[in-house]
Amino acid sequence: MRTNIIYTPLSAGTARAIASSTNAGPIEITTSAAHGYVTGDRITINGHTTNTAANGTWVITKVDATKFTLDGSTGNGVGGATGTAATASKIILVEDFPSIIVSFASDGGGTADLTIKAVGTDLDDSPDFAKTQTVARTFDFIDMVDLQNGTSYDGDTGMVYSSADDYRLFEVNTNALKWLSFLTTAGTAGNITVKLRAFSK
Amino acid sequence: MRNFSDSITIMNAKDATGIGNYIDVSDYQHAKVSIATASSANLTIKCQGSIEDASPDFSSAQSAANMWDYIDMVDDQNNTSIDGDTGIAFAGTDDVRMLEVNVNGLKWLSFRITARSAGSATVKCKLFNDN
Repeated sequence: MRTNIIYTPLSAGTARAIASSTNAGPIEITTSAAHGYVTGDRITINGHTTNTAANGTWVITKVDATKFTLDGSTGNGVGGATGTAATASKIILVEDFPSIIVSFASDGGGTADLTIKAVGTDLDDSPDFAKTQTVARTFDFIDMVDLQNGTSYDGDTGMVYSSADDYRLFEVNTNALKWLSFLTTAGTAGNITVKLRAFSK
Repeated sequence: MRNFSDSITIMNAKDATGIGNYIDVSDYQHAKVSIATASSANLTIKCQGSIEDASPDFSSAQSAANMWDYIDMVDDQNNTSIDGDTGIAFAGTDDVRMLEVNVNGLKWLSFRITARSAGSATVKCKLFNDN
């Protein structure tokens, strides 16, 4: 009997464009639209420039509908309207599995608008996938193959939902990877649920 | 000896739109599928798959709470990939086709007649692994 295990790395995760950030400790993020997060949520900040210290995975404290602070952070500049705040995906240990099947279900009342990518690494310790890739933080975006038609989705591009809900199955080659996660790198509407089934040969 | 399942009948002379039996494919990597139509069939068949622990309702719309998708099939006749969203269409001339489906990592597999104006279809499959 084959071994297979189902995980839910991300349940109804949302993403919002960042409007600005403060050069303070902790950093305060302002989103372009209501973020819907509450104190204690784990959020990724990705692609934010100038105040690059904001990039990463954080536990947050809600300030109001469009503001929250990143617990334990310290700014390194005043950030502008760049990057994305998103619900953090869990990081899955995949070293025992050569492949996984991933299901993506977006739900935005027909108007989901977000981009999600698979990220993976062979590092012993799981990195913060929301931070910048470096020599010491070697991870990359991982190709996904659409089970619907065999199309390969470049890891750098990811799956793009543009004003439409959709439900997709992908296969991801996790052979020799240790950790796998999912990063929402852009979004303004809707949410996404990611499940995966990891299976042995 | 390779590990094959017995032949499984998904649908038998089905002459209406809808799904046949859905099957647990979690122990297998591939499915070899045979589709045979009768009575000058004019219909389309699509393959569906899911990774959910509990089988979804393949006859209902996809949603975040009912997660499945259409799955690509490869035609053994010419190695052509048949897009899951398109399916295989029979337009009034009966035929028998052999296809292969990658079920690696899927939990459930189903087949669905999505458009039909005449005839019937019988779908059988055999599940197998590489070794």
